[in-house]
Amino acid sequence: MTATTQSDSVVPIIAHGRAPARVAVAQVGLFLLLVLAVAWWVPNQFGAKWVSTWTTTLVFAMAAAGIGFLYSRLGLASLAQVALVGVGGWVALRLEFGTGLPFFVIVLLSATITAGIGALLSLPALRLRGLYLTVMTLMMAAGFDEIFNATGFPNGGSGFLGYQASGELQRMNRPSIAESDAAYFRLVLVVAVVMFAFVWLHERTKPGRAWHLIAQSEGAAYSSGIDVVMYKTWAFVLAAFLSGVAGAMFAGQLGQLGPSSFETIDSLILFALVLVGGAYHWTGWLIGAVLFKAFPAFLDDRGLSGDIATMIAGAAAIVNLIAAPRGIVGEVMKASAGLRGRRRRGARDDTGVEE
Amino acid sequence: MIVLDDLTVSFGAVRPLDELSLTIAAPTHGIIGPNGAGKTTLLNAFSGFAGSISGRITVFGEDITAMSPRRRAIWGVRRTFQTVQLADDLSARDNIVISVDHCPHGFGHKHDAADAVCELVGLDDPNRLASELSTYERRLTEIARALAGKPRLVLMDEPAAGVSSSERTLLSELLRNLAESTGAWLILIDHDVELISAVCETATALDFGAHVASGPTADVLADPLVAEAYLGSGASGAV
Repeated sequence: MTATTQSDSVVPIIAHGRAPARVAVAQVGLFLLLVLAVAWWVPNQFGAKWVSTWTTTLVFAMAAAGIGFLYSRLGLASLAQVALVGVGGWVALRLEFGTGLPFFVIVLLSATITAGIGALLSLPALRLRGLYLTVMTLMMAAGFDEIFNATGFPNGGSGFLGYQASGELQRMNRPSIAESDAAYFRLVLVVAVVMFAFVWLHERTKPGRAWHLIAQSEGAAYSSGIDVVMYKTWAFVLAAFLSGVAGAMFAGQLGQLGPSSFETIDSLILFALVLVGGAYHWTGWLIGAVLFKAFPAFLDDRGLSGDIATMIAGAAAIVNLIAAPRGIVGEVMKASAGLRGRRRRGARDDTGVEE
Repeated sequence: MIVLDDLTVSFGAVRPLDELSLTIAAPTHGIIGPNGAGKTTLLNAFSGFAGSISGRITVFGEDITAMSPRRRAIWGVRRTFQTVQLADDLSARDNIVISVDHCPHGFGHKHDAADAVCELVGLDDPNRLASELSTYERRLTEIARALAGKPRLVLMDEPAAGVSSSERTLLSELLRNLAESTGAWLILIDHDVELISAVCETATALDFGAHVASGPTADVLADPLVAEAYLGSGASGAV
């Protein structure tokens, strides 16, 4: 009897042809145009250093998407998403030097393995709630931090860990279609768009609706037939998958990885910055990633220490929690909704016609 | 037919329901009783949320006592809550589609199934966000969610709380015809004796977790023991 309900479980709202769906189609078109413009403009506008910075920003935007949807849809605060980027990167490098599989197969495999690890980690986590769960994810981040420092990242050495302290270091190869930095930026852009679309599709369909109700009340969710444990696990798995893709793309960008990119504090900072940007909208996730990677580089360019960015982020997070819980994007939306409302009221005054 | 056999719910030494046996033979049944009588506990026992439980609940010949809350929902035992539980960031329609997502709904598009229930309960413009709805519309949305996806038994916990008197009239109209329009039986809990007598064919009065009276609603309301439970001993002549 559940077979009939599952058969059309992933029919997106677009398929139904209601008025709001047509608006969504126009939005998607506009969005894709914007992506094309960015893909053309960024490599032409910026030098090698900034193309690399924007690539890294997009990599972490995927991890930020995981943080953002876990927080906004399920009310779960995960402080381990950058650590999981490290896991994805580690697995990608290990597969690259161990198997020599094609690049995209490695990306998919490392994301899947990271998702599997995310599922395992979610098992104890699902027994906890609220602050306890958050602390648990922070401990996981710290655990991975320790492991990365102890094992290092695979660099062509022998054995399971594949790490060598000396000897000829190997680098992860980029795919032949994206060997230059400019082309690799475009590739990461496309991958990030696909990942954001993947999250969006989840949100607009069965899992998204279930997550929303679970966040409101698990009792109501059970009483509507939702498998609460499965959907929560699914959310963790999806977030880990996003981090896994990010890690593999990061490995492809840099060729080699080191533990200093995935410290516990990084997971914490990216979480705070996603809140500052706005966890409830994908543009907020993007802003979070920009603040995480591009803003410190910007300060660096001006001769200021990138660490100032961390302090500013901390202050912004506090302001955010007190004054603007929906982040920068939330404030912009509120302002534009206010403007629209005023314009509409103005129009009504002119015509004397109620809407 | 719904049968409870020696249903006991205990939290440690406290027994909010104590060896309650009851047979419900009418499609609309009210549960009344003063605060702390065990009404909400009984509803939780039906939907599988009551903690330590003994005895047996049989709904239309199916023993549901051992089913998980989720299995019961899919099987057809649905409920609404004393405080409305909706996902505020979703539209009213999406809130209702949730039931259709997870419970059997036959063929056809999910949104059509949801729209049909919206029409049944009289909810206009289900595209609005749940957070933008009025108190009454939020009630209706939650009721619609309980009615979507082939329910067999719907339990409602004070659905009329906080709604205006004109809306209450609409609501009692809707609930009275529920069995006919959906085929599902209704168990209604409310303080509001007027609503119960307008909607329910039969009723049960509870007090301190025990059975006080059952039968046709008018008879139960006229029972001196019921008045005593509500108003205290010696008050039976006052009603």
